[in-house]
Amino acid sequence: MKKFFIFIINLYQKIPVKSHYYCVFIPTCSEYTKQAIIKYGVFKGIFKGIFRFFRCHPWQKNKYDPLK
Amino acid sequence: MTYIWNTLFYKPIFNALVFIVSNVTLGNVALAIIILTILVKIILSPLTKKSIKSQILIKKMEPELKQIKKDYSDKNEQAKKTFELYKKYGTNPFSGCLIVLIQMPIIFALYTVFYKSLSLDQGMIYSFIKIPESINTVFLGFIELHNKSIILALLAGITQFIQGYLTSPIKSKIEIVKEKDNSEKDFQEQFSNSMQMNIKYILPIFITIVAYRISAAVSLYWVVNNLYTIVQEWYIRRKVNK
Repeated sequence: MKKFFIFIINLYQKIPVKSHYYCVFIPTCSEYTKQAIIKYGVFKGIFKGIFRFFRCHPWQKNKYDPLK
Repeated sequence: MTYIWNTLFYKPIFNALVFIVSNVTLGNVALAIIILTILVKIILSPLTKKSIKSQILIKKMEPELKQIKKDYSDKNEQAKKTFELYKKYGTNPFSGCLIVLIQMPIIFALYTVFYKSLSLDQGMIYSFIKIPESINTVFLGFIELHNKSIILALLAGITQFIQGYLTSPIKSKIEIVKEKDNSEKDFQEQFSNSMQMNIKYILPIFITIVAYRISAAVSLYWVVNNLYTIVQEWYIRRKVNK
C-alpha cells in the first residue's frame, strides 16, 4: 500500500506535465507528500499532503516548508 | 453535485457554444468549436503563462541549482540559496498548485460540451440565447463532426507529440547515461524512468486512439488546444530569451 502510493508519486514526478512548474514550495508538494507517507503512513501522509496542497497558492509567503 | 456542476461550469460553456453557433459562425459548428476553445484558452492564459515562464527559467538555471545542491549540504541553506536564485532570475510566480485545480473544471467542462452536446439539448440553453435555426456539422466540407475522423485523430496525436516535445524538460545526456549505469535500482524506479523516456511517444498514440473512438468534434478540440499551446510556448520562449 505504502509502496504503491510512493510509486505513483515517483511516476508523477517523472512525467513531463506543466503542473511541476506551479508549485511554490520547497520541497515541492509531491515530494512533501512522499516524505509524509514514508514517515506517517498512507492515511496520515496523504492527509498532510492535501493540507499542504491547499497552502500552495500565490499568496503564500513562507515558501520553505519542510515536513515536520 | 450534478446540479452545481451544470450551473457553474457546464451550462455557461455550453451556452457560449450555442451563442457562437447562432450569432457568429451562422450555424457552422466546427468553426464555433475552434473559436470557443481559443477563447477559453485566452481567458485562462494569465494563469498558464506564468508556469511556462518559470518552466523556461528553471531550465536556464538548472546548472546553478545543481551547484547549490553540491555546495550546501544543509537543507535549510539549500532552500535559502534556491530562493535567492529565483529572485535573481525574476521568477516571482503568481503560482501554486491550487492554480492547477482551478483550471481543471473549466477544461473538463469544455471537453464535456464537445463530447456530448452536439445535439442541442434545449433545456440547457438560457432563455436569452437564440437557438440557431440550422446547424452545419461538416468541417472543411468533408469531415462530419458526429462521426469518427481518422485524419483529425492523427492530427491530434501529431500536435500532442510536438507539444510534449516542446514542454518536456531536456535532460542532459550525462544524466541519462548515469541512470542507466546504476543497476541497483529496483523495478519501480526502472519502470518510472522508462516511463519518463517513453511518455513522449505513448501519450500521442493514446490520444490518437481515444480521439478517434470518441468523435471528430473532440479530435478537433484537441487539435486546436494543442496548436494553441504550441504557439503560446513558442511565443513566451521568444520573449523570455530576448
